[in-house]
Amino acid sequence: MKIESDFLPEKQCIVIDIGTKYTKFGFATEHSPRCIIPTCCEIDGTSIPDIYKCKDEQTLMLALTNFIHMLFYKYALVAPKDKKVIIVESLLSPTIFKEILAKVLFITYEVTSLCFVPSHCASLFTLGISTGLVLDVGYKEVILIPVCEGVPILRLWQAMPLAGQAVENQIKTRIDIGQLSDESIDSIAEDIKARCCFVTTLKRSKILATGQSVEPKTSDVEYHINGERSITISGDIRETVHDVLFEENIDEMSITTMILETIINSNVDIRLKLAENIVLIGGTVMAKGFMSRLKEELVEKLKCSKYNNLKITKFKFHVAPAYENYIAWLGGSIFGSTNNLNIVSQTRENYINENYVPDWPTTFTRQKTE
Amino acid sequence: MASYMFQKTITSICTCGLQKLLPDLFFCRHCITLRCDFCVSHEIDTTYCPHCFENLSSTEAKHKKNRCASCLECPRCFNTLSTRSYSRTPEPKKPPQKMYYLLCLFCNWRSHEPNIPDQPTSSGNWPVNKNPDDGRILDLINYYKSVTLKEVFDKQKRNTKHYGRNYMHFLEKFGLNAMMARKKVGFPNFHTDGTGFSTSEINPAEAIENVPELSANTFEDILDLKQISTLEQRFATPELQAENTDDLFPIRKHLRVKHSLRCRVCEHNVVKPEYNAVKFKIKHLAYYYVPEIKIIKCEPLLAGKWSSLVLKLCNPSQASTAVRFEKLDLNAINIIREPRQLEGEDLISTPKQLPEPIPIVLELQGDIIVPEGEIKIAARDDTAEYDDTNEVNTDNDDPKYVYWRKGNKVALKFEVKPNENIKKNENVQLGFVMHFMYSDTMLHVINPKQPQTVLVPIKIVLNLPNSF
Repeated sequence: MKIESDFLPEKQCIVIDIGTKYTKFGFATEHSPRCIIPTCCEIDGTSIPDIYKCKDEQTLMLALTNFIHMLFYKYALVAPKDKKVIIVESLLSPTIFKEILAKVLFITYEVTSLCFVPSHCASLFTLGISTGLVLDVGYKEVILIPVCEGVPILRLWQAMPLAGQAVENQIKTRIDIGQLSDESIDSIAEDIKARCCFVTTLKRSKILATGQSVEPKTSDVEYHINGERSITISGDIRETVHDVLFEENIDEMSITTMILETIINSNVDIRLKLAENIVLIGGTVMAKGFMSRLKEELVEKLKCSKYNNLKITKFKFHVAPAYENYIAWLGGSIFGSTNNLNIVSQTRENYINENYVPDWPTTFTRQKTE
Repeated sequence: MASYMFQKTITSICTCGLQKLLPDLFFCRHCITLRCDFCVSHEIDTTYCPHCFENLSSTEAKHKKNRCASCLECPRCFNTLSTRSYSRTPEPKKPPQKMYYLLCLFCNWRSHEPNIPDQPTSSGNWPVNKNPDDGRILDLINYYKSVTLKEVFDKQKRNTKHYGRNYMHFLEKFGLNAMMARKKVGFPNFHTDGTGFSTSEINPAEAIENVPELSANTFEDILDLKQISTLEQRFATPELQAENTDDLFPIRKHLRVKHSLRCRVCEHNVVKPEYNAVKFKIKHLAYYYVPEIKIIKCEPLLAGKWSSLVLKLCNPSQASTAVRFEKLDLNAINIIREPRQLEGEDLISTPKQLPEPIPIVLELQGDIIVPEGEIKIAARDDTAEYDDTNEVNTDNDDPKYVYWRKGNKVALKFEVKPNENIKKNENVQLGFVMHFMYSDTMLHVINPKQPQTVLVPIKIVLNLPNSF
């Protein structure tokens, strides 16, 4: 029988990426997550669809306890006691969430050590590069943080609520799904987004925005709801729902201008490097045609006077050796396979003594785990 | 019937502060208090396949990535696939050969759809699919491993002082070589001077300018939704995430676990399942110890008026018990309850930090008069049913509170008065504390004494419907 290194019990390290919509979960050194499950749980029979929306500390703690319980006993099938845990999290995730998560893992589940890895930096591990412009288009918001030589440049962060949820809201307003409960409307909108819609080209989008029809016309789709009714999703809607991501708001901000603003505000020396190392992560970028549309938009926007003096002619994109929705997780998994994990993670003893989770940039309370 | 069990009319407040139904609670016999799912620590007892019920050891399960080796799931509807066979004669003169394929009896999916070749054995070595970029990820992992090792090495090099001489001959003289060798196990293989240590090379990913465009027929092609997988189907195999339903491959059945539960405070087992059977070695459920309360009669509730309520108490244990009632004091509800101990029990220190109890938020919408004094309840006797005489001593009972009595059951009269401002069709929430006599029947090795009895307080919350 083949004996692998992860066969030894002390080597096992658990990597969790809790997203707003889906949670990626698996073991370090493995090449793909064991499961991608919706981030939701139940408290006493009432379901909590979005853990991040729990404002009250008590509810959040109960929700996270139940959620972690489900992860470990339903999917990982290991007891969390004396295990190492890596949490891949966005740098912008709320502190309270982080604190409660640490409390639940250390006190209720007694893990040995815990390490928070910023998702934007971790994503670069999957490419073997150290500088890049990382754009995370998730469910609730799009977050852009450039990373230079492995260090995120927090000064240049950009975030906007233009992501999967915005697209789903477009679907809900433009397609009459009918009288159903909120949850089923949400899941139908998500299903339509994933299975029927794509991101059209810039040229077609411009023509369609003026109300004219375009050749070749996109075919309509018959969509069945619960096997009872069927609705027709017109071709125009199929190709234009994602346009909301590229529409500028009153501050002239969209995904496109976010990238350009970051580049224009960055140091002259890394501008070119950022433009030629764009990394797209998150589930929404998996929509068909997203990458080519983004490139078209960027090139188009360069022509406008504001960005004219950027001296950038081309944009280059990275393609990771995995699906975009679990790139950050994979980065965490690669990180977990290295020795560095023992150096930078916080131990349980340390947490109990200090009663405090170090904020990401500080490491001084951390002691080496053996 | 199941809905009757889940009705939250009568709930008990667990030691941790959560409101639970009696069947959901456990009773720790060492702390003599209630525990629930939330305040016990879960351990993994055995891993098994939910379809073929084969038990796997934890190492085996880990090796198989928590998947059953023999059971497969339909990638389309997630039901268990069955293996079908047919005979074929490859050459006219040879005996017919049996071939096997997979079929979902629910949605009629066949293993022919993703072009899995039929197998000559029934167990079938059904192919396992891998991410085509596995090699690249492995390279990356090895690269980063070596980078961190180099970092560690550089740090060590900085810290160690360099002596001008070589002490190797001392090592051999004092037999230190073997010790050093043992010490070195597990350490990376560095050369002592650091030369020759190199990180494995990796080509950083190249960014591309010519990103994949939408194919020309994306627009006009008629979309067949039956051919496009749902997100649930894609996420079932995160490394493949096939968009076309024809590319979905059968999934190995995910294993499940039997939990054994342990009290966090005293670290004694509360529930322990038996290996390879649907039985328990230890099951300290509250249902077996705490008298069960049921409502048998309730007069219509009127705002500001007293009405009577009859509750039936049933003693499930083999020892007789006694109950005493008390009003629920909302001010003292959140006082932390220290775990109590029986006499002669070892004092168990609690060195580790326990999760904080959950503050109880409760609002009572009325007043309640509880029976006074101690009320005895007989032990459960399975033969009592066949006894015709069925004599019950009711002499000591106060007829003001005891409605009737039979075997191990007793019906008690309560008086309830909802608040003046109670709204119609809104449940009336009331609470009281029930102290019940728990007699300890455990054998104490250290101190074999007479069975001890302890009064255990349990907070009960009634949620009376008010829809008249």
